[in-house]
Amino acid sequence: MRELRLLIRQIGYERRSFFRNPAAAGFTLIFPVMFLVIFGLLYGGQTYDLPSGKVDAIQYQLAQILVFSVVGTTFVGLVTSLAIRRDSGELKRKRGTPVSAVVILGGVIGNGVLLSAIMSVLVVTLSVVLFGADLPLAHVPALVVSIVVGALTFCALGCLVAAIVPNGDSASATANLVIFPLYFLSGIFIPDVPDSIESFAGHFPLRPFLLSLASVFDTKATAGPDWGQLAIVAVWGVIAAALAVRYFRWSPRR
Amino acid sequence: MPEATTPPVIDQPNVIEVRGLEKRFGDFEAVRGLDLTVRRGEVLAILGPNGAGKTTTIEILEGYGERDAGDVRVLGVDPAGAPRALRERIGIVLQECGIDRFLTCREVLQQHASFYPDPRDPDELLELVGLTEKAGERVKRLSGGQQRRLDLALGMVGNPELLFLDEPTTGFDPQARRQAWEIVQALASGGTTVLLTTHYLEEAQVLADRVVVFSRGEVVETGTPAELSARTGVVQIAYEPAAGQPLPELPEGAVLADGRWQAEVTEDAVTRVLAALSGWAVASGVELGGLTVTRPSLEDIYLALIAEENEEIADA
Repeated sequence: MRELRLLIRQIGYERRSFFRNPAAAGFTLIFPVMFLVIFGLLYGGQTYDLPSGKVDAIQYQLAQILVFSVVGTTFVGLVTSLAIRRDSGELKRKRGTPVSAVVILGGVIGNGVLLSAIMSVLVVTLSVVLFGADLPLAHVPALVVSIVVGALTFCALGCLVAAIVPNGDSASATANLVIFPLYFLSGIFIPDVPDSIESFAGHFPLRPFLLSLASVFDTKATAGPDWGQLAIVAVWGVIAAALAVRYFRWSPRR
Repeated sequence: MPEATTPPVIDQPNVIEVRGLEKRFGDFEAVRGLDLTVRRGEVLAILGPNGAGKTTTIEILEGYGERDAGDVRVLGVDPAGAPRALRERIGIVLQECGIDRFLTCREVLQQHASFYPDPRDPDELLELVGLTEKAGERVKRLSGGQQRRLDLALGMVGNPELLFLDEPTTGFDPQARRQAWEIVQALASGGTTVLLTTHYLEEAQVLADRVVVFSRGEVVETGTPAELSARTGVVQIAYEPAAGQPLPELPEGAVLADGRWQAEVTEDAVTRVLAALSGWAVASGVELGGLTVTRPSLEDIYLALIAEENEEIADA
């Protein structure tokens, strides 16, 4: 019980610190909104072919932008901030107190999930208001589950990559080097990707996350949300978490 | 549920016991068979040049570092792996250590207080380290010295039985350093055991009950600051003769340097030489201007020790 109280408190401190950091907060919040507006203006009124039939382009773009904002908030954000805070000794200092690793990292991850939720509400609301996107009410629980599972997985991957990068200087570059090829191969920026590349990208967590969100916004689908794709995302998360626990470092390299 | 994480405080006379500690990094032997004992309630200062193994040793005691060999007990337990029950009872002030820059001083202290079973009051600590006016200020806006004082407060927030201070006043101005010393002295008089490393010999002289000198991963000298001073046994007697004044003959080995008459005598000869000197001065009608009797400072002794050590290594 005490651990849970500490964890909730810790998430509060992380959130406070995040919103007071103009660089972090600005980058994380403004980028997805900017993409949403650009995509909406470029492809507004067009349609997109899903296996279930034609849907408005915004329905698919919404999934793309949600992936982009969740991954930016969690994966890229965590790799960078954990590596910098390890370099500065902040993590080492906390490790010298009785607080558990679960509470320290749980605070960071909890904040990542919370921010992902805030971003999702913002992006979905703007899409509905500005571009007439449609989110069937029955799909809201599936959307929430997908966002939480995706955010947790990309937090775990962020912790893992943070464990591997040597220092804070190389953290942001490494995170982007890992994630940008996947954005393109998985069809986050480009709607049409050749089938061979699609199936290759399907082995990594980004494409399944996109497909799972796309199924939530697919108003023509009768089968409901694609839980199979979300399961692939979750498996990646579990593996990443196990490896991160094994390899995470609290002290800067000497 | 009972407080299972807090073990009973056993009244051991020794808070830290280290026997035959060894630690190497690749080919570099950072610590070579080191023995160290810290008694309950004492302030022990570790002195030594860079690379002497001070930080390596202290980090092993804090539970951060792994050792290659040796027996280590901190508050009766092995610190390897940093058991939580131990972390609840110690306070750590590391060298150069980051704090969440976007939280305020009070928030950071409240956050860290929440980690401990029996924390001190954050506002009281802010007062103690002189940061009350900065309580609502974000850490990023503090000066280097102010951040270091916050470090000190964070080290104390868990109400520790044993406080580790790794070069706690580096970067302090003289006034802030004196303030920090007063804080440590107040803690020590309250019964907290303090283990500190420092480059400032004055700091060791003011704070420490006992001083341990490290060199190349070994303890080369231990004693109270006074004992170490007495160990060399050399006392300097000096004055400034006015121009054209006759000079006294006594004692042997006296020299005139930089306009000062100087003689180095052994501790047991001080009274005799002073009597002879003043007797001569009265008889000759000479005033002993600027007369001083100086025992070597810890710094002199430390520098001599380290020089000796280096010579031995060069000879070998």
